[in-house]
Amino acid sequence: MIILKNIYYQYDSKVVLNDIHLSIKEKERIVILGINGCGKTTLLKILNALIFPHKGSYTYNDVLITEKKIREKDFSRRFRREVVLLFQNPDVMLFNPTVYDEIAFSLRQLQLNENEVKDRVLYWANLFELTSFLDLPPFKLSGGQKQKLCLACLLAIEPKFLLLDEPTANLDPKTSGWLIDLLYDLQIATVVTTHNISLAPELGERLIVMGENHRIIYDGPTMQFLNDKEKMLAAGLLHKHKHRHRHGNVEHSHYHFHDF
Amino acid sequence: MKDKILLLIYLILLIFISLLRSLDVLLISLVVLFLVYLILPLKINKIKSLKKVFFTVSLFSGIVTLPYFVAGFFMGENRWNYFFAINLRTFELAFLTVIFLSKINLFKALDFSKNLTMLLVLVSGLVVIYSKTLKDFQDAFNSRTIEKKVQIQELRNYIKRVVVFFFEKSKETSQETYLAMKSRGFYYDNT
Repeated sequence: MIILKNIYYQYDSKVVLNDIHLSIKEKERIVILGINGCGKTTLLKILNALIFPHKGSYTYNDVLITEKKIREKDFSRRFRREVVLLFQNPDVMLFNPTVYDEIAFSLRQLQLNENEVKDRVLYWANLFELTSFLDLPPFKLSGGQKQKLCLACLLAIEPKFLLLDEPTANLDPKTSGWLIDLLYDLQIATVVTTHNISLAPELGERLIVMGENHRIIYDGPTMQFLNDKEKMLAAGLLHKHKHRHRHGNVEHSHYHFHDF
Repeated sequence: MKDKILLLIYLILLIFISLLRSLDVLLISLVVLFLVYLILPLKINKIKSLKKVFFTVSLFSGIVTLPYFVAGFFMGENRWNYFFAINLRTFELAFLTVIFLSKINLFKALDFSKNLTMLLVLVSGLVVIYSKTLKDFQDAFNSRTIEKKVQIQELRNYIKRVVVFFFEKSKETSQETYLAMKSRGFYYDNT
């Protein structure tokens, strides 16, 4: 279980996370919604112990996560295997000469024998429709295929918590649909950030909304928030704009809402 | 105007410090600069910047001055004076740059030339984007590394990929930027 208490983080003099309290249970499906720059990515990086809060505490299965703790070999090995992060830009995660080696990268670190590595690589490549690309360098793949490959790499080591940073940002509608189905079937905790309101109910039952003040302004059932227009307006997730249209020869305008 | 004057002062001081030879004067001016650095209200994290200055000077010293000094030692030459003078000067230049860069708005200081300002804006934008991407590369590598000790081959693959990525990205970005500038009428297109 993950517990964040009173988390505070700032870049230079700019506060990006302010008084964040959050707990995540195993197998829970959570969506973090917020406008650009509200601190979603920073929060995921803290959860993945890549950066550390300036104030507050982060505990993972009752272990306090600190820079010192993550330097401990045994703990780090367990943590990096159990909590994984899919970066928004898949390019930064791919650095092996072939798709095969990319999926095998973490498996080899688990010191599995090469036959077992091969079996697992082929299994995940098949599941993610990457089998025909196994000998290709990862950077030759399309954006959607790279995203699939990154997910295959992460899921191959069987994590307990999968953190995904705007996973649909670079995907076409078809691949987004595929990703939603995949995440739905996973039996692990998923934490997905997005600013796309229409995707939120598809990605999790529990919604965390981060406001422009870099605090959590909502934590509860997804649909309850999405039915409350005033709250969505306050979070900057909906906006009103003048909509003009014609009825025959008569043109008129009124305000209506959009989530784009 | 303020930024242009500050830039001019910075350039004059840069030349002045580069011409200093006496160790005593270099030491005194370094202490003065350090005090100015501590006292002046600068919009930077002073401790972090201080670490960067130390790192930069150590790197320079390790690559340039130390090998020259060691070579002199084996050749029976006393190069202490050179060693101290160069490192003190590097320290001063680094401090001076940190202080002035946090006080000068370079975009305003160089706005006497439209092309120079535009070039500066383009370069600064790319530096910010690339440094963020590089940080993401490092984070992703750390995040995906289960064992603390990675194999040399894996590390080599990673470094190779980062270099190739930035090379290709720079090429792509420069082509796109050129087209975007062309589209916005920056060049007179006679072709």
